[in-house]
Amino acid sequence: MGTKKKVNWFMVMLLVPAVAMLTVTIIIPVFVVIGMSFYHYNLLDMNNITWNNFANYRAVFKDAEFIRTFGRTLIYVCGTVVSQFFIGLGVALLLNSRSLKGRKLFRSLLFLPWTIPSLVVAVTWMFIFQPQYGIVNYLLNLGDYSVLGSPKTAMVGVVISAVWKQMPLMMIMLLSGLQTVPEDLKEAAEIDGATGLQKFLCITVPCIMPVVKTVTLTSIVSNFQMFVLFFTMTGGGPVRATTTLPLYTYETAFSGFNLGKGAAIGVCWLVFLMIFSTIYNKVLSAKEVEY
Amino acid sequence: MKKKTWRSILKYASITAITICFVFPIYWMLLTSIKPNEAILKLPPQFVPVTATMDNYRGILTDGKFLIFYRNNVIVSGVTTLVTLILAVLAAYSFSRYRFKGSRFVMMLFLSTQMFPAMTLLIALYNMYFRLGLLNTYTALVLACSTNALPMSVWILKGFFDTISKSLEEAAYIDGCSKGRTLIQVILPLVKPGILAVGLYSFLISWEDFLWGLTLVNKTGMRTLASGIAMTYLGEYNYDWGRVMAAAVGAAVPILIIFIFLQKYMIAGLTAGAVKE
Repeated sequence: MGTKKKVNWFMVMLLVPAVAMLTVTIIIPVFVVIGMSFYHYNLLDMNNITWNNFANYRAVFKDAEFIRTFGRTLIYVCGTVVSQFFIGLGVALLLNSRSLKGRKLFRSLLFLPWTIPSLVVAVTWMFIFQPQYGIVNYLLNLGDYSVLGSPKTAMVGVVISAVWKQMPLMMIMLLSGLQTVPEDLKEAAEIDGATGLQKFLCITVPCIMPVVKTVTLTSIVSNFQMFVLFFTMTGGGPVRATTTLPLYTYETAFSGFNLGKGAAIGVCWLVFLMIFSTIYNKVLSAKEVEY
Repeated sequence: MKKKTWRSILKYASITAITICFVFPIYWMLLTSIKPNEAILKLPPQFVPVTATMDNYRGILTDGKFLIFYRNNVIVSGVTTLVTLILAVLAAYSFSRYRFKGSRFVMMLFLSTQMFPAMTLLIALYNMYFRLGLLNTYTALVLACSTNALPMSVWILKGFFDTISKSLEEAAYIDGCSKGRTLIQVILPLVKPGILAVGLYSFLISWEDFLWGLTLVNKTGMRTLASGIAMTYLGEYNYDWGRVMAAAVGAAVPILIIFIFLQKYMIAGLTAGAVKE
């Protein structure tokens, strides 16, 4: 079998702690959760485990609520990622223009929301959206209309607070991407008479494509997991208008005591994300350029 | 000429407007935390402090819970940062210096673990920790939080190690320095910014944590800040907003201060992961 090589024990020793840690806390749990999804598994009676012939999966796919929850999750993820991407890109372009004075100050101020813990984000925005004395209702003259308490606007409220917290990271990543765009390329294009828009589409966009791919994928995957904002701000309500996948899984497993079905939902979710990110990577890789 | 001035006015106007929108909620949180209750419930709202009070802060500091949550959060975040740093430095150095069959695969596996939904893992972890008697322990929280921070930390640090020339180690080996000593005495001092960036990153991740604190712990005495605030100060109908905001400020302040002084390192760490390769 191949060339015989001495095992590099030093290298192995360096890797062992981290690999062991991830094995115990991620790899094994993944197998455990897959296993659990095939059993009757009740939170209140964790020693009575029986094989239930795919009943969990059948329950998940028969459950109309699961499909609706999935739809709502997609709406939330798209709303949040698309808005923060465009705001983030706009701000990054502004901050990247050399003629703007005080760029560092603006950048630091705009980055502040990212440092605020998610729970604090949730309570701050709950106070801002408060129906009786909240600032949004006062400024927009909404009376005592409850933004987070109405099925039509609750999701919008959560998306706004999520965008507020996450846009800064998007901005800083895109900005660092923009700074890698070679200046001489832009100058050359200018000499050839390219307009601002042409320069942006033909030089800037291809150059920042790898960064765009990474940040949007990370943002999509992490927003699929958004739990704290929904749990705190709306609790999934009103009338389930903001029940997304993480909340639904949590409710099923921990409030509904059905760990087995919760595990089945979790497995479906995991499979979906794996397929999705493989396709996403393939599609966007096709548009990359290398210098 | 005229067109240019208009353009630059537009630029400043839009960046200022966006900045105000993004900074205002933080200002509003700080302001509310020092307002007396009557002022909080007043319409129209007071945009500048008229009467400042420390009552809300006094309230949370003496209620016998907030300080416990705080202590727990400091312990969990501190230990998590330490554990993550040690594991990440070792693994990142190995990935940076040694190529072996499947080393790329292991690295990708490391990174892809970030994708696994925490909620899915939680169901399994809850089950495992229940059986091992680890629920309601710092160990459970530290393990969970370090796992969240580790993959990205390894990736960031690998980037920093990659920038250091291998000839340094070769010179050290020739001088009779052992591999371990070379790493600690020769290489580590050169990646100080990377270590700082990763330390800040993992501290932030664990300071933020809500999900693990909510589920792997159910005793008030073991709660961390985020879940503690949610379980204690957010009642069903009536909120004491002054206290909620004071607790919120308390939770946000350490990271804000760290950011103000060390933002260069924080941003360097965050962007290093995405921009390289």
